[in-house]
Amino acid sequence: MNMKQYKSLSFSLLFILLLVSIVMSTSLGGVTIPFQETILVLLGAIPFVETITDSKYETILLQIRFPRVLVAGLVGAALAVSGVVMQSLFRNPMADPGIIGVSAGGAFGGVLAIFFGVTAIGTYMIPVLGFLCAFLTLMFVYLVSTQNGKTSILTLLLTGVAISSFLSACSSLLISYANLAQVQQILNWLMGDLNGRDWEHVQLLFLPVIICCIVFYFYRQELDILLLGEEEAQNLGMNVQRTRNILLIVASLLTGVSVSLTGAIGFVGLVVPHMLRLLVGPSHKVLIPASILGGAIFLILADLAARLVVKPSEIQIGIITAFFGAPFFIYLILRHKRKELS
Amino acid sequence: MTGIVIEGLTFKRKERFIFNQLSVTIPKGQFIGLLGPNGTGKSTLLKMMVGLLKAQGHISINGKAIAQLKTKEMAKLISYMPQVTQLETNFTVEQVVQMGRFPHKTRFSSWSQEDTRKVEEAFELTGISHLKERFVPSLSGGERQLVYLAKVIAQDTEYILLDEPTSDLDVYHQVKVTNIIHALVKKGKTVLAAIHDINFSTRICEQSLLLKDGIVIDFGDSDQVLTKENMANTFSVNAHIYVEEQTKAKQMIPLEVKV
Repeated sequence: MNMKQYKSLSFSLLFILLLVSIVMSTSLGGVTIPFQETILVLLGAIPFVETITDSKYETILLQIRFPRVLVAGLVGAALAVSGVVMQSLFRNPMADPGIIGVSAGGAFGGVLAIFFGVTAIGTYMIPVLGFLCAFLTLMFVYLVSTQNGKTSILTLLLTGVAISSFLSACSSLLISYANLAQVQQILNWLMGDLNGRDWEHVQLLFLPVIICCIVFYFYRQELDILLLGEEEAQNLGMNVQRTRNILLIVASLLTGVSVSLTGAIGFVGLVVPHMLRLLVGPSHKVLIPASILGGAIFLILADLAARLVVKPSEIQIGIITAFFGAPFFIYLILRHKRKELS
Repeated sequence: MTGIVIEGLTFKRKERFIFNQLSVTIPKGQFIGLLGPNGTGKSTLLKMMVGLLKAQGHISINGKAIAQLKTKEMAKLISYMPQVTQLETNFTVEQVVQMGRFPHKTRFSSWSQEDTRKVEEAFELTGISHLKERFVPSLSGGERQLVYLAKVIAQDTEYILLDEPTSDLDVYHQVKVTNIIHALVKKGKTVLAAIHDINFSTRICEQSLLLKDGIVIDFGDSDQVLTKENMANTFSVNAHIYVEEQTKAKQMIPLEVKV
């Protein structure tokens, strides 16, 4: 089997897996709906496709579960692709939107919105504030770690760690002043929560995610070349500083929008890109689309697990991703250490 | 006006002058060895010529000031191979060599026949076609150097700067890299290489540029640059200079430190 066939096969597999996970995640939950019926209802929702439309499950499927699955898919794709881009920018397999502090910024925005009750204006205030804080965090981290137009990667990562701790301390402080109902809501937020995500969320996510992914795909060659090192990239005629700025801002926007709508879901940007690099290789031409599919699959399945493990209740999706992601992060550190020692 | 013209180049690092009003013209179509003691700024000079470091003064390539050139235009004119390469990602050899074509492409241009031809040429010249599918981090130091050289060749620039291209290589790879550079010069390329082995440089380079304390001590045919006086002035050693019979190249044996 040559390289091209292998890659087509990988993509076909990912695509099939995505469809299967969408159907599974839409069917299973508090009420179990037969797969066949789910497929017919979902197909019936596509314009001009005629199937049965009088299923008694139609409301659950189309108004509750399916939009939630879509949100999970979009956010998964967004976080995974942001992870890919940040890892290439920092030339470090451990870089991730969570690590440079952008996720913490987004989450803190959400806590602020709940605490000060601005959600009374409209629930959309949570994403707006979340996004704003994510962006401000990025700008702050960036300004602190950039000197003479150059960013030291070590300083950037350390600043990210510091700002993350600072923002979670602020969140904790707000929680200790909050009333019981707010505490519950905030905790759900901080752990990453997909409960009650509906078509409005899908609409808010759809365009930013698609546009940002397209921008990244445009920069696939630059991302490859950045992995050779910045001097090499400049030798090859790339405007490194400008490329890096654009990619950093777009990656943070993508993270900010996602985190502001679902809370901080950790480790997706770490686990998914790493596994897909093993499957399709490091070239961004294939890694970016593969991560979009893989991130979507990962979060859709994580969400399904979050709904099934303590059925009929459910746990936050952030718990599931942390259970997979944290050991994985430690595994990466250990491997890195072994490499350094040998 | 062809060649690389450097005028009044001044560069300080930690209050110490690396270059003080350095002026030199690198002619076209030659293989020039850049010689000088450690810390004399050989790598720094190469980096300035490709715009990786900025300094006071003026550098122009083929009459165009590099400060005015866009990075992409520059990358079509001059390429640079650093001493240490630091790729840890599992790109294949072919993928890395193909990256050399980046300056010749726009965001929306697809891979052209010209690109394929240049990449094939680079593989032919370096003789590493058998490594195409291998991952770069799994290669030996010598093989990796050939891969990066192939990438520079695929970049297809008039001027090629190499920082210690042979320093960590075994003799087999040293000879191989030398032959590749000679083939490039024959094709009309200009190669400037920082080399710390004076005898090796004098054997393989047509011309030598001798630097010390940020000024040019001597620049000319390698045989004429390798003199007792130059060795004493540049490296502070008393040396015995002789002509090696086989290659007819001048060689030196450092005898003692000059007091």
